[in-house]
Amino acid sequence: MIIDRSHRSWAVASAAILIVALAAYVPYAVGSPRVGGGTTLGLAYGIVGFGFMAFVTLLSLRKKFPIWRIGRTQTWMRGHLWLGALSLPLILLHAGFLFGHGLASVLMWLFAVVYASGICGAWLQHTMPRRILRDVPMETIYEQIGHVRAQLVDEADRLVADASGRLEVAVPPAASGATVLATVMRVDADVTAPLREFYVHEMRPFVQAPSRSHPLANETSAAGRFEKLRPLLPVSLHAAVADLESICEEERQLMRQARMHGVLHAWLLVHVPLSFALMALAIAHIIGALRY
Amino acid sequence: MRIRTAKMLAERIDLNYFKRAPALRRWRYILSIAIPAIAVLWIAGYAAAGIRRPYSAGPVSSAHAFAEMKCEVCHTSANAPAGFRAHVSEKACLTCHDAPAHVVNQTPSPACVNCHVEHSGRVQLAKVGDGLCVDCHGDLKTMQGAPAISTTVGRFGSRHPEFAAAREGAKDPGTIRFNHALHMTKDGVRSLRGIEILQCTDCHKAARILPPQGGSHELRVGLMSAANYQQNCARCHGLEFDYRIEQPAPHDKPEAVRAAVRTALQNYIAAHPSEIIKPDDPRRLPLNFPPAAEPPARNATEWVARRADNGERLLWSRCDVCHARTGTVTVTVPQAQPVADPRRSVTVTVSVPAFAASHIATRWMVRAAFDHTPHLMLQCVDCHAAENSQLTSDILMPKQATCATCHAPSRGAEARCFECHQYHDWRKSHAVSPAFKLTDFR
Amino acid sequence: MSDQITLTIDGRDVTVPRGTTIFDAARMNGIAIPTLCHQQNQTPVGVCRVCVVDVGARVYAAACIRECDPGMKVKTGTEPVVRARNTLVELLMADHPSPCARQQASGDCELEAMAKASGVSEARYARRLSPRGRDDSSLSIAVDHEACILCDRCIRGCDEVKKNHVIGRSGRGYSAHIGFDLDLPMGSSTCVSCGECMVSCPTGALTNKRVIDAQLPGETLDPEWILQLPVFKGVSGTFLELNKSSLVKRRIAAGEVICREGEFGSTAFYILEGSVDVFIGTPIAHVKQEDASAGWLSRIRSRLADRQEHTRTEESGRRFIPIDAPVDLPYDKPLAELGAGELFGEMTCMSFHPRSATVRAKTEVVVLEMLRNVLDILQKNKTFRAELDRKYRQRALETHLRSVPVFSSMPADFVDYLRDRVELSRYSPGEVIVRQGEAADAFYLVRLGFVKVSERHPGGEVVLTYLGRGSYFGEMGLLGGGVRTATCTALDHVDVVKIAGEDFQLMVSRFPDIRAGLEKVARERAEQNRQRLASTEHVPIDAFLNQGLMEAQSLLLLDLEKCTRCDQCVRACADAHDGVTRLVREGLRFDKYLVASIRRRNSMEIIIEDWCIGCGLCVRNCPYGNLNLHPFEIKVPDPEKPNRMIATTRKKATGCDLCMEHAEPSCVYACPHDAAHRVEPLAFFGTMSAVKDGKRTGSTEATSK
Repeated sequence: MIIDRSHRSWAVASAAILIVALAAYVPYAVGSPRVGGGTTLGLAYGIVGFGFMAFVTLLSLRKKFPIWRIGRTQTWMRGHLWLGALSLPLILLHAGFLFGHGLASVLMWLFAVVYASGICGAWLQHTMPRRILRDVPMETIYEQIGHVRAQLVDEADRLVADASGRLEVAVPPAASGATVLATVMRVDADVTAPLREFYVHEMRPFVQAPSRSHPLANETSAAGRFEKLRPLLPVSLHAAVADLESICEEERQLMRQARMHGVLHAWLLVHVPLSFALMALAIAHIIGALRY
Repeated sequence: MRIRTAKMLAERIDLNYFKRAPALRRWRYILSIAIPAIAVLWIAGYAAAGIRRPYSAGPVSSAHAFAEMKCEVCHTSANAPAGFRAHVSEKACLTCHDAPAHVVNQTPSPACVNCHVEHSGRVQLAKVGDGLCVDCHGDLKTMQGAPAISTTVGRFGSRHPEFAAAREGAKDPGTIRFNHALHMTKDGVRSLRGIEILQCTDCHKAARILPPQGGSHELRVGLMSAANYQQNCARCHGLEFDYRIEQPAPHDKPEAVRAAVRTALQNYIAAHPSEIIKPDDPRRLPLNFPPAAEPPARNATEWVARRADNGERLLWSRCDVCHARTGTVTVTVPQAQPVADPRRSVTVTVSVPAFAASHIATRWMVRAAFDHTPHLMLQCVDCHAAENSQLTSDILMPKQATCATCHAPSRGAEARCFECHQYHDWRKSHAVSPAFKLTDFR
Repeated sequence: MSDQITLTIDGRDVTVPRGTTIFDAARMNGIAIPTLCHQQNQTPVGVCRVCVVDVGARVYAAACIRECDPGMKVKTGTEPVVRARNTLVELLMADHPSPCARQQASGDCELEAMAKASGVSEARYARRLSPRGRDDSSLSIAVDHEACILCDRCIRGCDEVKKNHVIGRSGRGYSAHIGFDLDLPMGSSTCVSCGECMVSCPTGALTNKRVIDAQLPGETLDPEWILQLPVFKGVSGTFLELNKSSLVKRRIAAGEVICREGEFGSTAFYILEGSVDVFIGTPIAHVKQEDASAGWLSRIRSRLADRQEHTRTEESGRRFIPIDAPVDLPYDKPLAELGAGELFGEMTCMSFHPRSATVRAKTEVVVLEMLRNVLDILQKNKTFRAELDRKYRQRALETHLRSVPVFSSMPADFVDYLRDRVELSRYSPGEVIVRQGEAADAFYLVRLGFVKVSERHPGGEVVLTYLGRGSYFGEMGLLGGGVRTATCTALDHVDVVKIAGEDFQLMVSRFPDIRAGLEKVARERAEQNRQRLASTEHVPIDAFLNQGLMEAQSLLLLDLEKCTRCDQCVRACADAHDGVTRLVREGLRFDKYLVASIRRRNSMEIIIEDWCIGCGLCVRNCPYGNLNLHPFEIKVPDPEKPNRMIATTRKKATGCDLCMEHAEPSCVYACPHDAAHRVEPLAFFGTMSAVKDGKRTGSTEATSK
């Protein structure tokens, strides 16, 4: 979620809470013989901080039930960002800026990692969508990249088959029950041979299972490859070549999308599980604190 | 030309795709279960093994380090009001410790742990923060009546009131005339042994004073003892009263002095009967001292009476050098006449001078403890402005600011309340009976 | 030059209009020339050559395309002609698996019938070696390329009759075959399963999947007997003879179900005697009904999700559910009765839609059950048409008029007056009903189908609204200046009730409240149009028209700069709609926005009603890919055990419904990143273009480079 002008009220409220917390802390730190979770104010910081953390963790639960009318997810997300941001100072105030011992220090380290990953994620969410929008105009749904890729192979197969006659690759049935009727008249085999050669040995493997080391994975080298191909083919096939080039471009964009999507979402692999662990241990911490 | 219409794009999508999780999401699910599970197992593993180290809030104080891994020594459920809770209660502390109450009038009486916070590392628990004291003393209330002391006490150096002894207008209650400046002159003082340059420590010695009600705790250490005539003054300010008698008069009450003088003269004349008629050697009389009246004494009694009168007169004037005479007092003393029959006791009433009590203060800071020992590296005069003090009533105690030169949070020397003040009233302490065996901590 | 020419066919002198084909000329004179590739309602192409006749030239001519020449001597049955024809049939049969699917199912494979008639039992020619394959990908139509004789009837049916342009020829020579779109499997093509190809097909190449395993039960009828029925007056006996098995008479006991809602079928019914009840029993509710096993947990869930049955306040005027019969069903009590002389199941039979309602015999009923080919003939039969229209005027007109709120107060005598004066017209897809700027001479009430109302502007055509059954148009022209203010075009097969101008004027002068109602609606429409156009003026109109966004009333936009592609919106949509998503994060793009779903509201709405029969037509035709067909599990009464319910799957079209039961659509509600927005396109793009200040806001991805 991009933090923009609409976050003003949240920002003001968070700043106010932070200021109040800090303002309360100064006389406390100066006047109180000890700081930390055991004191009344420290406990208050802990309770509020844990409340924020719990709320922040609940976002993932809230996302599990997207249609529950318990506040817009967006509002939860804003809360997640701002209260999450607030939880660190509060927890630090709770701990008196110490990392503590045993479970408490584990909690603090976990929290630090979760917080750092959260900041990182927020930054990614600010930048990556723009980059995806800019760099991947042919973006599709990430989960469907494989599916779309298969359709691209299909499209390319058909293109080449239409242009050069029967394609000498084993084509699995495209859809259930349908037999592919690639019964196209043979054009002059010699003329289309370079196209078929190129397609079968270079482009098709790339589109089917793209790898970054493949020459077609690079825009410039791909353009060069197609430039070399064109003079070998009659002008009538140039349209088909242009289409193939476009398919390669789409394939490259899908690769890029997959990569960028990975970047945009990989931080969650750290953030989410660790935050659950953090909550589990925080509860243990609370139980311990209640007991001792 | 590839045509990509919106519909074609939309139709490429398998409408049920969202029901299957892609690798990224699947891993998120797996990790979201696995990592918290590991965390829970970790903590549960400790719980199962009975190890409570993770819950430890930190190392315990040095004094309690022996029981660091024996939580139950302090955290006993028996001490807590509810079964699950194992908070440390008073009882746990009082098993080993004696902690006499602060003041009866105190409101409210805090629990041990309020001030002595454990698990703060290897610290001394007795060193509690100022905040705890200031909490009450900053705005002091008592259960009954008005507080006898300042009600708005803050940290030392800021809201701490000036020491009572060093306040403006305070006077030394002592009555012994003493001019510090005269004695401490850099040129030295004249004595029988010549010029002597006196040091503070020539007169002031450290003393150890035990609490008057008994008990084993030293209430305060390292205070200076009061200057003592015998040790400090007699060397110069002797009490000789007659050139024939070497022994000076005792530094005692006037009637005792009177008796001692007469006894000494009687003993002397008894030993030297020939001198009854011998007049005094005027050279050996003190300056401006009138010789004994003529004619010579007829007998020993008369001789003694004459010499005693002279001696007493001389001595009383000596007293006046330091002591403040308040008049005369009549005392009944035994007849000094040698009596053949000791069973016959005769008393006479005589008049002797009366002197004010000396009131030498040995402890100025009555509510605080001070130890000179750690301050030995300092010159006495750094704190006690004795060099220029000419009056007995001058108070030579340092002011708060003098202490705060070093005793300030910014200067490193301890400036917290406990440095000078005691919370527990050790006068009310009582013995603690043993509760543990050595084997309990093996 | 005379328009009539005379020629001799089989020794008979016949006179026909110039330009008549030999086939038609012969047929008009009762001489049947066998044919396979030719059908009366299609352009002749002459590919099968079975209709060869001797015209005295060096080679035989195909009767279906050869026009008559004056004085031509045509011999249709000479031995050489018959021999040539038999050879042709034999050649076709060599490639034809016998019996084919149609022959097995209904015994009406035209080729096999012809082969049998001409005594060709076994072909002397070698069969082809390479198999041509089958295509089972379509849900409704089985394609067996082996049985195809390349007669092109399906292609013409698809192109000319239905104007779907899906089927074409693919390959050449031995590889020639029919293909769907660019030779896609039929199920993946843009085929709408209208069934035209299936009924056009003379063999088992294209067969209704149901037909294959279900023999039409009932009493086969003698064509002579059929022709005595008034509705069949004028129908070709030959046709009936050839399609004997496509028309059966059934006698159904009272209480028995004739057809069941949701079932696929291929027949229509004509009631000869008795009466039937028509009702719908299992509408798929807007919101899925609670599970029977609902515990407190799911109740809490349901409460949290705040689900309620949508009350549809804005459609309160609507009181009838249109079904596949001449009557509508009342909304609150979906039940109606049909009597003798009425036809039902028309849409199922013609367009292969699933049954839209259940029909049960009320008394003992005698019905004629017919396949598409027979119904098709009937529909083209003026007598039958007139009969249906008469029935409509008698029974349905009044209900229909009264179902329109404005006319609900119309007195019975005026309805009687109108009954015979209204004109019932039928328009084909794309046909213009009224044109902007022309003189207004009539008022129209939509009886069937959809009408598009649009205005022409310099920037292009702006669609104002779509009108469906129960709506009316033309009042603005009549009440106003007498000139049509907009163009109304039929979107599909549209039946309208046309009330002539003078009748309309009479009506509004006699009934001031109707006038007031009409004027109110006219004012509202005018105001709506004015607003739409007023806001359009500030927006570069071509930018909308490029992508058709203009026609939407509400768009779901995903701000791709904010969207992290987390798919929450899709999952929310699925959760809100019984586990299927109506939202696909792919499609139209506009600047930095992805238009994920389009929704029309109020006058321009697309509402998929609960009684959707899952025909898929809307899905095929949606230009944005925003409508989808999903299978739903529903419970229906077990046909064998009447009191038990069994689970079955039924398809239903789904489109964005804006989550009407909620204040805010679920997708927007669930978006954590403030990326999903519901916007009104005009207002939104208006501000956008104002902000961009002349920057090009056109499409970025309508076509790729």
